[in-house]
Amino acid sequence: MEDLAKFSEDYGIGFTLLSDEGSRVIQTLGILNTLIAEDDERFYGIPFPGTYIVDGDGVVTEKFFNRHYATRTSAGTLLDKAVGRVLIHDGAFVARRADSAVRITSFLADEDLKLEVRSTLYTRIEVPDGFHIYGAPLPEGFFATTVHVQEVKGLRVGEAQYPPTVPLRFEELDVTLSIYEGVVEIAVPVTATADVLNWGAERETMMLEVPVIVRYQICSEEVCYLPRTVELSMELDLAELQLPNR
Amino acid sequence: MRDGTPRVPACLWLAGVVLLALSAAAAQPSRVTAALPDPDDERIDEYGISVPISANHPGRRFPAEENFPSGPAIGERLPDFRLANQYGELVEFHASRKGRKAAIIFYRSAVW
Repeated sequence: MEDLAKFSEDYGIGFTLLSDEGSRVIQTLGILNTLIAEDDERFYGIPFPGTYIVDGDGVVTEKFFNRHYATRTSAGTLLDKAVGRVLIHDGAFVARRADSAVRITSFLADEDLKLEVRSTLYTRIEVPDGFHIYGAPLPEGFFATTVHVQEVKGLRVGEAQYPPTVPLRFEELDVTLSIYEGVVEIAVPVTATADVLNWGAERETMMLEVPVIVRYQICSEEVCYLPRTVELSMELDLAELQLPNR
Repeated sequence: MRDGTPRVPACLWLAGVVLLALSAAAAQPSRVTAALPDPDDERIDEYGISVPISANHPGRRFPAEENFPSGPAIGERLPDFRLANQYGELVEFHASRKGRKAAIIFYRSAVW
């Protein structure tokens, strides 16, 4: 309790910290770290680290458990999942590009990248009324929208998560195409690795320059523009490592 | 938490559960296997993380595979529980949410 009070005070924590003495809740949920021997008095009882998000009824709507002890899901990613909306948080790096047809915004879910904390790099494409862009699957000759976050040293890039498409029927062509209209948000998990941030080592760099390549083809029911490729340059700050409270 | 508390929208209530005191409890069958450290430098684990203690140290062990126990599934109601907060007050999890959403984070300790 005193440790929690001190931690809470030192870090200005505004949320509730709870102490699970005897690991009763951890065991009830079944998340006890079974890699630690029962007779290991110092370490036995810790959980596999993870997060649940529950809705108003207390039902789990999202959960994030990572096998590595230092891997976490970032605060910005958790908040967006909990709120159910992608927000541009204060302090987040934002890159914008616009052409005659669409507006593209790429932004990180957090202020910075921390070692092994999985953040999200969102790309938001705003398609004007009366137009659409495509998503997979598509017949040959059509170009699905893609977002590619280039891997650079010190950045692990996960698989892009595309929202569901809607079908649009073109009677004259006798095809049904998968399309997006309005605001399209594509999420790519990104994590800073030990290649640039490590315990006992100076930060090699303060920031990662990360190219984001967006490909799309915008069409209306009457006209189609040529497929386009747009590159946005993200500057993602790396957070200094912080020693635990002692 | 380098930057302190994230700004929390009113619809969300964040709870952190931090394990403090440990005591022996009922035995659990152990089917989880641990990832092995770099044989050339036992301080470096599979993720390249280097801490001046062995990667075999119990506090640094982690599952070799993704299918380790992670508790209630999406769609299940989280079991209720009552635990003391940092001010020494007992908190009943579901009642304290007052019908709001919550994020609950399990972490090993506020000390190490």
